[in-house]
Amino acid sequence: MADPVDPQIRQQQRDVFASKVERAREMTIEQKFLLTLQLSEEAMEWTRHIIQAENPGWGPEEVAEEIRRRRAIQRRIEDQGLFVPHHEAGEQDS
Amino acid sequence: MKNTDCLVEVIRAISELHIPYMVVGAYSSNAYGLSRSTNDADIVIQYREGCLRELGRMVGGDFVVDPQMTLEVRTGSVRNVLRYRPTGFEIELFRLTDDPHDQARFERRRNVLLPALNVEVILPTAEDVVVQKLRWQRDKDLADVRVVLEIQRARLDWNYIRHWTDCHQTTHLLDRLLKDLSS
Repeated sequence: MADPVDPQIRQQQRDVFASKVERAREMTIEQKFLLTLQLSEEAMEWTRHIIQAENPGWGPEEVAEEIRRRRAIQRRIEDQGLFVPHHEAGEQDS
Repeated sequence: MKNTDCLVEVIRAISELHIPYMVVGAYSSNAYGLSRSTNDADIVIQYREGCLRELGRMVGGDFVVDPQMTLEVRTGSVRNVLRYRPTGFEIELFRLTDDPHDQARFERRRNVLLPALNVEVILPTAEDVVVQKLRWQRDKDLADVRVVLEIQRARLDWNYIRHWTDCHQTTHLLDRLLKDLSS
């Protein structure tokens, strides 16, 4: 099947990927772990700011609850077919 | 407390409680691939009766274990979600199962020291990240595998990977990703 993407754009995608791969190969596991933490922190912070801006009257607890609600939706989508509710008695440990 | 501190605190508590564990999910695939942001952290623990209660007590009242548990259908692993209430950050705790590959990857896990955070974390090997993510096959899993394969290709134990992908009937997927990478 023919590639529907313009060959020039496809080549640019390959070049960007190759450059990212090159940089990643030069990083240690620790550097990548720390970068993941930093990126995730920034992404969460960004989401928090957006939710706060959309809901100026909300306090930190309501913002955290909205993040939890959105995460639950995302998890439901990602879990489809891979996770099912677990109701076995005696397994709860909290 | 920032999410980074949450994760470090939970890892320290798990270690102090002598609960064998490994950090899986995006934190492990990123360690061998490209860093991308993730909404939560995933940890496999060798569960023992009462250990989640002990963990909850040790990390304090701002953390709550979600009462809704889920079951991962490929290995039968039970998942609990530990949430840090002030920010909504979540840590998914998966119980180690008797599944042969779950056992094998747990045996092969490795320690990585993070001096900047003054903590040691335990991660699966790159081979086991590939095998596990090929097994789960979600879009993000396959994207992560593609990157890990490209970055780690020359260092991977291919006999080990192919043994498990044959067992899991995912070799066709592995070959397709490798073919895409070489084209």
